[in-house]
Amino acid sequence: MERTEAMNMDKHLRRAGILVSLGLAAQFLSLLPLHPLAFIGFTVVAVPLTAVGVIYFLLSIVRNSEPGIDQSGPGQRPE
Amino acid sequence: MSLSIVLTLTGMTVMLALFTALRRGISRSREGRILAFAALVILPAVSVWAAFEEHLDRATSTSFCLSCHVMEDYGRSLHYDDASYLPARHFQNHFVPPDHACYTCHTDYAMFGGAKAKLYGLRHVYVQYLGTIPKPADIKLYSPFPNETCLHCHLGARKFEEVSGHHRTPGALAAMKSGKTSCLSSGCHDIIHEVGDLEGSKMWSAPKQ
Repeated sequence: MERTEAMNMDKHLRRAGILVSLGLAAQFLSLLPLHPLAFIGFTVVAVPLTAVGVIYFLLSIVRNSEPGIDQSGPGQRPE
Repeated sequence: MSLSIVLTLTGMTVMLALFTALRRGISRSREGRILAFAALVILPAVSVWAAFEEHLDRATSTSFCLSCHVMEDYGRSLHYDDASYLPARHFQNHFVPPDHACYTCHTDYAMFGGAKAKLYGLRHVYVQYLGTIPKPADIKLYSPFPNETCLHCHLGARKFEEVSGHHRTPGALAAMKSGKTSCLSSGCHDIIHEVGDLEGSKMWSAPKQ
């Protein structure tokens, strides 16, 4: 059961990490040219992708820490 | 914050977020969860904020404003070799910062002046790509040029306070200060960009350093 939860958390982390990385990569690219479209790209692509990644990660933490889920310390969870 | 710092911060955050995403079992230790929180919440938030600040700062630069084709003539009008053209006189004598020339004169000096300018900018982008682009000579200001923008720098300056033209009639200076007499459209300083005069006009550019 706990192993499944840990795997689920890893899966959520992976998805959130990829979303945040894509958003920040778009942000990086938007900073290179000096043009109004770069700002539009930043607000329309980079910020939403990063925000979705961050919110997804935060929601996965909240769901994982809901009552009934084991909150044992580091290294306590069985593999 | 300089561009290189923002780029470095963004690049490092991307790498850390990818490391967090691809590292298996990172959520099983306390340190791993702290790292994940930093990589996926704190650093991205700081990075996005820094990039937003950088984008807003860059949007005030002269080259940013002139990056739209329709504005090119207005950029050229800053180089008239004739001091009667007000923007050229301000630009060439560095009465306004040359790198932020457009923004200095075309932003209201009030609490929401910058925000209003950015909203207008978004509208300009919409018109540029999805609307009907006007001819440069047909571009008009949204509202009459406010004296406050001139007074932001000139008020209290000796040349402004004592020049004979500003004392031509009793109360003339007070009328300017209160905005009753427009600096630009009352017949005194009314030679502005005049992009229709560009063809055949003599131009001046600062020598390259």
